[in-house]
Amino acid sequence: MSALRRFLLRLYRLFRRADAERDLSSEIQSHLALMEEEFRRRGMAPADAARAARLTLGGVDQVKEQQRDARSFLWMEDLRRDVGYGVRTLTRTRGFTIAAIVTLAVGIGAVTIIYSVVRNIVLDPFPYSRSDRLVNVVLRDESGRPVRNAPYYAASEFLDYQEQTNAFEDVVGTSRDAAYWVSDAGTERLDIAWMTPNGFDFLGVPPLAGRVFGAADAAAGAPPVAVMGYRAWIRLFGADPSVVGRTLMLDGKPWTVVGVMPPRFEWNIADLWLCAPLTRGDDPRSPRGFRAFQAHLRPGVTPEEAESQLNVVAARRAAAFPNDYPPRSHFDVLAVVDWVVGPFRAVLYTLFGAVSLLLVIACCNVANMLLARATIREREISIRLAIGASRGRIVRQLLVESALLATGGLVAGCALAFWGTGALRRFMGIGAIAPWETEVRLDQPVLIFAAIAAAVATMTFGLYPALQSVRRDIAARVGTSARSTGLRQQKRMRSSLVVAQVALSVVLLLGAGLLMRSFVKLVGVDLGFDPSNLLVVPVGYPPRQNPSADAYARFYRETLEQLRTIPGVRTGAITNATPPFGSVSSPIERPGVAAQPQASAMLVFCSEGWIDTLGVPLIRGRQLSALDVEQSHHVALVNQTLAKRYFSDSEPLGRTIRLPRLTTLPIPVPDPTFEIVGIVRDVANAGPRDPTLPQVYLPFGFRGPSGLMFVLRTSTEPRPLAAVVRERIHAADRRVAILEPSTLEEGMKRAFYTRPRFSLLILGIFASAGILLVAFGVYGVLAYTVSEQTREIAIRVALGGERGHVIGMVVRVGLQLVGIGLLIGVGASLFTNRLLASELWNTSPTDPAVFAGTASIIVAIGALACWIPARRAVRIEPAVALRHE
Amino acid sequence: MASSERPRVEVLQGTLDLIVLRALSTMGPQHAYGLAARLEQIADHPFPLNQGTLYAALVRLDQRGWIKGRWQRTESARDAKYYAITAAGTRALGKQTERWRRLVGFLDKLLIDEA
Repeated sequence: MSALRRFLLRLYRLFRRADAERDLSSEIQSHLALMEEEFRRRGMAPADAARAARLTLGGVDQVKEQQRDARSFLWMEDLRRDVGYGVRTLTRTRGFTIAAIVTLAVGIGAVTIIYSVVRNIVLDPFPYSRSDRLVNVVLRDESGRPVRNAPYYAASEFLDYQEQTNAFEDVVGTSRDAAYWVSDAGTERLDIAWMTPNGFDFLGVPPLAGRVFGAADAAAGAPPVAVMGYRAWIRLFGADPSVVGRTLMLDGKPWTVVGVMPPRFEWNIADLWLCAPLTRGDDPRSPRGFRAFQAHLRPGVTPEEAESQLNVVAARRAAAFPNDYPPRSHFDVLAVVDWVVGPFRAVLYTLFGAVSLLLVIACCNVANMLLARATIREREISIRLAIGASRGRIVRQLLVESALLATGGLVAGCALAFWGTGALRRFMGIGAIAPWETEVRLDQPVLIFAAIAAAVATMTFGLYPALQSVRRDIAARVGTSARSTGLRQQKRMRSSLVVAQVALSVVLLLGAGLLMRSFVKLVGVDLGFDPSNLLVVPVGYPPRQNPSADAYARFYRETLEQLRTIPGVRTGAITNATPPFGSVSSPIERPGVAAQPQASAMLVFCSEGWIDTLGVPLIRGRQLSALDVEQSHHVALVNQTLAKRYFSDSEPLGRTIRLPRLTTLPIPVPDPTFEIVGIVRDVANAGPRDPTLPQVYLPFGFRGPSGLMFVLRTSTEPRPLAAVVRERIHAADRRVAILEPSTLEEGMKRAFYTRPRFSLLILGIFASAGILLVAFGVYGVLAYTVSEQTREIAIRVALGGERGHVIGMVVRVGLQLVGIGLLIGVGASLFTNRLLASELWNTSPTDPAVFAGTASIIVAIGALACWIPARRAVRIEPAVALRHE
Repeated sequence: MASSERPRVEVLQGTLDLIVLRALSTMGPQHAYGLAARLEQIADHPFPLNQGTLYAALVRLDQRGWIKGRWQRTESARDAKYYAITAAGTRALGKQTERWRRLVGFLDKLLIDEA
C-alpha cells in the first residue's frame, strides 16, 4: 500500500516537476538565510557569513541534483529525456521526418479507406437479415443471357418454381411499377413495388415508424396497405409522422400507409411497398403479375442443388410451353450482391490489391529510410557507446524515436482514413455504382491492422542500427571483417526494397494508365450528336377518368409549343428516349420477305423536330412532319445501321416494316406496319461503349400517354431554365407529374462515367502516391550510397576526375535498381492488368503507349531522385571529405 | 553522481534516514537547517555531514509518507519548510530502531569476538 502510494506520489511529482523544483529552490534559500543569520549572530561579517553558509550546505546544484535523484523515477525521467531528445532529433532532420510520417499515413489511410469500401459494397452491403443466403433465381439461355426478363417470372411460373422445389427457406416476389398519386397539392409519380405479404419478414428489417405488413393484410377483405420508404417520407411528407394511417389515392385506388422504413431499406428502390399476394390468376402483362424471384437458400443447401431442382421444374414446364424455354436454357442461382454489384466487384478487389501493395511499399520505404538513417547515425552511436552509454539505453532511445515516428504516422493515417472515407462517400454516387443500401463507413479492424503493420515495420527497422552495433562489437572481438559483411548485407537489403517498390509502383501506374486511356476514349467517343445544352424534362400523365387518345396528345403538343417560346430555348421535341440511352426494342419484319431470325430494332417515339433538336442529319428522304405526328400516320425514319442491316439488297425508302412489339404496348397498336420515309445518321443508342443498334423513329402518338419527356435544346447552360419549364407545364395542366428535370450530360455522367471515373481517380491517387514513394525510396538509397562513397568520390575529384563521370557513376547505380524494378513490374502487370479487363473499353491490357509512358515516368522519377545526391557528391570539397573519415 | 564532491566524512550508508526520523520524533517539527544545527549540537564534534545531504533523506522520508513538510513562519519571521513525523513515521521509527539495534549487536559481537 505504501509502495503504491510512493509510486503515485512519484508519478504525480513527475508531472508537477516544475512545482517541486520551485519548492526546493525556496527551501534551500530559506536554509541558507537561516544559517547566515546564525553565523552573523555569532559575530561573523555579513559577507563571510553568506560564504560560510554556502560552504556548510555544500554546492546548491549538487544538493538539488541529489534531491532530484531521490525524488523521481529514474527510468521515467530517462524516458522524458529520450522523448525530448527524439523530438529534437526528428525536428532537426525535418525532411526525413515528414517523409516518413507522410509515407506511413498514406499507407495506413489508403488501405483503410479502400478496405472500408470493399467491405461495405462487396462483402456486406445490405441491411437485410440472412443476406448471405439471399439469392436471385435467373433462367439463362445457352449463351448465358437471361431468358424473358429473368429473374422476373409470370405469376403461374413463379408459383411453380416456388411450390415444386424445397431448396428455399422462403421466397419473396417483388416487381417495380409506377403509380400516380393525385392529391390537392398536385400529382406525383411514385415508384412503387408490388411485394408478397411475407416481404418484410423475409427482409427482416423493423420499421422506423408504424408497422410493416404481413400475412394478415393479405386475408380476404383486408384493406389494401402500403409501407413507405424513408427517402419518399422525407421528400413527400417532410418526415411527418402522421403519415402513418393516412390513405393515399394511387391511380384512383385507396392505399393505407401503415409504416415507414428506416434509411438503407431500399428493396427495389421504391417509394412505397404495396402488399400484393401473388395468385395464378394475375395478369402476367402487368408488373403486379410478373415478379422477381428472390429467395433464401435453406441452410446447408448449395446454389447448385437449388439449380438442379429448378431445372427439373423447368423441364416439366417446357413440355407444356416449349416456346418459353429456348434450347439448353438452365437456371442460375446467384447471390443478390453478385447480381447488383456485378463486375464492379472485380474493380474493388483490384483496388484493394493495389492498396495493399501501397501499404507494403510504404512499409518498405520507411524501413529503407530508417536504414539509410541508421548508417548516418552509426557514428553518433559508436561515440555514445564509447563514452559509456549502455547498449540498453541506446536501444531504448532508438525505440523511442521509432515509436515517435510511428505515432506521427498513425495520427496522420487515422486522420486521412476518416477524411477519406467521408470524401469517398460523397464522391462515389450511391445508387450509380454501389447498391442504394450501401453505407460507406470506416472499418475499424482494418485501420487497426494497418496501424499495427506500420508500427511493427517502423519499430523493427528503427532498431536496426542498435543490432548492427552489437554485431560489430562481436565482430571486433573475433577479429573478422564482419563490418563490411554487415554493410554489404544491409546494402543488398536496401537495394531489394527499392527494387520491390519500383516494381509495385509500376504495377499501379500501369493500371492507372490503362484506366485513364480507356476513360479518355470513352469520354471522347463520338456519340453522333452533341449532348451539351439539352434539358430533359420527363413528365407523367396520370390516367384520366375518360381517356381519349386526343386529350393527352393535345396536352403534349400544346405544351411543347409553349416551351419552345421560352427565351433561351432554341428547339424542342417530345420523345420517349434520349441517346445514348436505349429504348423499347421490337422484332422487325418485312412483309413479303422471309424474316431474319432475331432481327430487332429499337423503337423511339417522338415528335417532329426530334432529330433536329439532337442535331442528327437526315441522309435521304424526309423527316416526320407535324401532320404525321398529329395524326399518327404510319410512317417511320430509320437509322443507317437498320438500313444497312435489313435492306442491304434494296432501297429502304418507301418500303414497309412490321413492328409486332407495338401490339403488346399498354395501349396496343392494332396495325404495326410503317412506311419508311427517311434515313438518318446513326447516334449511339446502347450506351457510349457499344455499337449502335438498328433504330426506328415513330410518331409519339403510338406510345400512349406515359413515359414521354420534353427535350429542349438551349442556347446556354440549360439548368436555370428548369424552373420556367416546370411552371409552363403546370400552367398547361396541373394534374401532370413532372419528374426531376436534368441535363442530358448529367444523366450520361451518372449512367456511364461515374464508375470509370471512380476507378480512375482511386487508382490514379494510388499510382501518384506510389511514384512519390518510389522517389523517396530511390533518393534514400542513393543519398546513403553517396555518403558511403564520399571518400572515393573525393579522391576521384581531387585527382581530376570529371564531375560528369562522377554523376554518371551515381546515377548508374540508381537507374540499375529502377531498371530491375521496372522489368519485374511490367512482368507482373501482364497478369494483374487482366483483372482490369472489365473496366477497360477499347483499350488492350497491354496497350504499348501506356507501357511506354509508364516506363518513361518511372525512369524520369528515378533519374531525378538520383540527380540530387549525385550533385551533392560532386560538390564535396575533397579536403573536407578526406578528413571526414 | 558527482564524484569530486563527496561529503567530508561519510555517514554510514542508510543511517541518515533513521537519524532524521529520530530527531524529528524527539524535537517535533523542524526545518532543514534547524535539523542540521540540532544534529551538530548533539554530536560531540561537528556533525560529519554536508548539510545538503539532508534534502535527499527528507525527500525519501516524505515519499514513504513518514514525514510531512509544511511551509511556516520561523521566529525570525522567515518562511521555512517544517517537517513533522507522521503516525506511519512513528511506527516505522520503532521498527527501524529495532533493526538497527540488532544489526549493531551483531556487529559488536562479530567485531569483538573476532578481534
